Amino acid sequence: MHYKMLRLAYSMRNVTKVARAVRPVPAARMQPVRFMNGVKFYSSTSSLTKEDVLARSISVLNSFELKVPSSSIGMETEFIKDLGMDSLDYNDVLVALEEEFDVVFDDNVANEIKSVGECVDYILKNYTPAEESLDPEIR
Amino acid sequence: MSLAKQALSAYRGALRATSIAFNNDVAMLQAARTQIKTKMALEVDPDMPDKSVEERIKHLNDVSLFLRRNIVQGRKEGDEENKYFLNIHEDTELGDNDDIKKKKGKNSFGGEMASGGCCGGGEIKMNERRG
Repeated sequence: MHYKMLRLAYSMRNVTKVARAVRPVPAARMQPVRFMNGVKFYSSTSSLTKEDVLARSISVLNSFELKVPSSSIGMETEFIKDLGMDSLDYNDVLVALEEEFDVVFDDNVANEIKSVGECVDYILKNYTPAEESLDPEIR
Repeated sequence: MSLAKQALSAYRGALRATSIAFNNDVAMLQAARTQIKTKMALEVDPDMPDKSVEERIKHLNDVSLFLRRNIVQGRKEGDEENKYFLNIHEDTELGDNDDIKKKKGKNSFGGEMASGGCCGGGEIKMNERRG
């Protein structure tokens, strides 16, 4: 399958990066396109920590054009003020995060979100762990 | 909800719809999303210059609904000729053809309306072909 090849290519090109990350960045992120399909390449976990969510959110952000280095992104980073995004750009990010974590941002929440931290908190509150019996590759 | 928020909400809905319709087709997904974003950024859409913002938001919501319900992609698998696997998902609209099987009411001449085709008055029997 093509994504397996991507995964291989990705792992070869980003060995050091992967080693530093809490978990391997999903292979889909390495492509120069902004959006990828919802297929997930990480293994399912029964619970998420704030650090996990932040690290994965930053790797999602990495697939977008950022005006600042991703190492400077933290909970307080604001999409429009700090990352130089417009309202469409940060909604792209929200949907990409939805696909990454299998959550849906409620309309009222999504319209008010300004920072990465607010996203992380929302994801932690609304994330439903994948069923252990289900193969994540199939889901 | 302000107009801007409605527009962004419709935008998110459209992005989600594209991922449902084109889940495994990265090229199509990318093209659809680029098109949606480009049109979102335009003050006036050259394809519908007379539409108000409200109308354009409604149009985008309709597009999202259409993508979710009425787009089914097929993928050819294996060597078998003319055999495609369809990506039918939970949002796909699946008609049951009940309105075709149903006998219609009387027409203005007092006769029975044709239930379909050119034969008039006959009830159409739906024979499922299996094989």
